[in-house]
Amino acid sequence: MIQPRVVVHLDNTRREYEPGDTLTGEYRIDVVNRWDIRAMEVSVLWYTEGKGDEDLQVHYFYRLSADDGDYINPFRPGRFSTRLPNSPLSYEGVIVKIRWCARVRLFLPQGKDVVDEAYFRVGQIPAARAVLPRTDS
Amino acid sequence: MARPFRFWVKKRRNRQTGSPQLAALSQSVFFGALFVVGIAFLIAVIIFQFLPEWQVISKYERTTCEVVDKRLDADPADASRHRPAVQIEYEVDDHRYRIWTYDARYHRGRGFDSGTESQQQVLDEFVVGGNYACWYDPLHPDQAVLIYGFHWYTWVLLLLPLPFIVIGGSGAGYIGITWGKSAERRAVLVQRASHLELFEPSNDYKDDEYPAVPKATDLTNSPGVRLKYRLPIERSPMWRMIIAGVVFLVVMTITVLFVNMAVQTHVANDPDWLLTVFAGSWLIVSAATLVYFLRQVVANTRAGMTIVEIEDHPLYPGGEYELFVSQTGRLRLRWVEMSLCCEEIATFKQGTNTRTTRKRVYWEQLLRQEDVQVRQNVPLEAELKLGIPAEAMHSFKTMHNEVHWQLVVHGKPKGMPAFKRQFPIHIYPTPRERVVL
Repeated sequence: MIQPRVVVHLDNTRREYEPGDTLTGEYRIDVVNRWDIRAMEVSVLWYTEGKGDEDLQVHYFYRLSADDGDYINPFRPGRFSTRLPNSPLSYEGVIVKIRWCARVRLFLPQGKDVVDEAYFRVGQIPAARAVLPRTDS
Repeated sequence: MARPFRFWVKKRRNRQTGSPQLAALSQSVFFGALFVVGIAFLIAVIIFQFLPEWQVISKYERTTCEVVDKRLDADPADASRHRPAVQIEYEVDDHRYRIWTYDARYHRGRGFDSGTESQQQVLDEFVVGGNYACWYDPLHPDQAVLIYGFHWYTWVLLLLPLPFIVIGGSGAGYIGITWGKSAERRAVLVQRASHLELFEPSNDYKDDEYPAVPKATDLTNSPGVRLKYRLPIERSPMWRMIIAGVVFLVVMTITVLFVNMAVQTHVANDPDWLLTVFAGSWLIVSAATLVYFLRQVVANTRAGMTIVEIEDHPLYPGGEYELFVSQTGRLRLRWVEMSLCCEEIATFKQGTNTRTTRKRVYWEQLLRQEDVQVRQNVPLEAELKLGIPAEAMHSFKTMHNEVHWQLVVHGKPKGMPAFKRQFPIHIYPTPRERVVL
C-alpha cells in the first residue's frame, strides 16, 4: 500500500515575514483513496527549542474530520491564510530558540499520522551569542 | 544513514524514540489503577466502617443496660489481636436480652486491634454490675452497642482515598481528553481553556496583542518621583539576610545541644572526646554562619535602598529613555555600576528534578563610578540615558523558556560583600503596525 503524503508550501518563497504580514500557503495531499484520510489539521504555530522543555502555541488552527461529517477532498490543493501576530519573533538564541512553522497533519486509519511542515521567520532578530559574565573587581 | 541511538541526548520531537501511544497507555493504566484503588478503598471504608456507625446513629434506640461480664476476645485469625467484649443485659418490650457486644463493628466479627493494653483500658471503663447507656436495633432487639457515634478515625479513613481518586481521576481524565489528539490540538485546547473560550468556535486563534510577551502593567503601577515610573526590584536583598538569619538560628540551636551534651560528659569526669570534637566542629560552622549573617545585616543596613526610575515603559528596540538611579545608605563604595543585561532562562526536567539554566546574551555598562562616598541623607544619584539596541530581542516568557531583560545595579562597599540589585524591564517588539487579532 502506498503511504499517503502531504506537502506544505508557502507563497512567499523567501519565507520571511514581519508581524502583521499575511501568511498564505497551500498543501497538497498525495493519496490513492480519499477514505484513507480520517482527519486533517492545518496549523500555524510557534514552538521553542533549546535547553528548556518545549513550549508550543498555536496561532491558527483548523481541523476537518471525516468522523464529524466534514468533507476532505485530498485531490485538490488546500489553501490557508492568516495574519501573523505582533509576537513572538523568530529567535536564534543560545539556549532558547523560537521557531515558526505551518504544519499540516493527516490522520490515517489505525491511529497513524503523517505530517509536513514549512518553516518561516517572523521579524529580523539576529542570532544571539553568549556574553561571558564580566569579573568585577 | 540511520542515526546511531544515543541515550544521553534529549529526545524531543523527531528525536523521540518511544511510542506516544504506548506512553499514553502506560499513563492511563497507572492513573486508572490509582483511581480504582482509591474508589475500592472508599467503598470498603463506607461499607465496613462508616455504614455500621451511621446505622447506630440513625436507627438504634437508647436504653439502659447492666454490665454482667467483660473479657478480651482474641482474633481467631491472629491471636495477638484483641477486642473488648462486654456482656450486657437490657430490656426491650418486656423481654430481657443478654448479649456480648461493644461497638457497631462487634456484630460483624471485626474491631480487633493489636494494642492489647489500650483494649484493656477500654474494658476497664466498664464495671461489672454497673448501669450504662446502650443502643439497640428496634428491628432486631437482640443487637445492641455500647458506643454511639462516629470514631474520629472514620473521618480520616474517609479522607485517605481522596488523593488517589483526585490524582487518578484527573490524570486519567486528562489522558482521555488528549488521547489521539495532536500536539497542536492539545495546545489549542489549553489556550482556549486558559481564555475561557471553550464554546467559541475560532479559526484565527484570538490571543493577547503581544502573545508570549510579559505584560508591562506589573512594572508601571508604581509612580516615580523624578521620572514617570519607579521600577520594582526583582528580589529584595532582605530575603538573603532573613534566610541567613534563619540558617544561623538553626545551626546555633544544634550547636548548643551538642556543646551542652559534650560539657556534661566533662563535668561528670567521663569525657566523650568524639562528641567534644563533633560539638567543636558545629561551633566553627555556627561561627561561620554568624559572620555571614552579620555581614548581610551590615550590608543591608549600610547600603540602603536602590531606586531606579524610568521615563516610559514598556521599552522598544532602538528607543532611548531617561533613567534615574539613586543609592542611599552610609558607606564608601570601591565601585558601583549599572548595566543593561539580557538573559535567556530555560527550565527543564531532569529525571524527577526541575532545573533552570541562565545564559547571558547581552550586557552593556551604563554607568560606573569608583571610590564613591554615600552619606546619610546625601544619596548617590545619577541621571543617564538608556538606549535599547535596535536589533534587541523582545522580552519573552512562556512556561519553560524566557528572554529576560533587566537593569542591574552592582556595588562593592569597602570591607563588605558586594551587593547586586536587579530591576526587570520589558522590551516589546518594534511597533510597526500593531496587529489586533
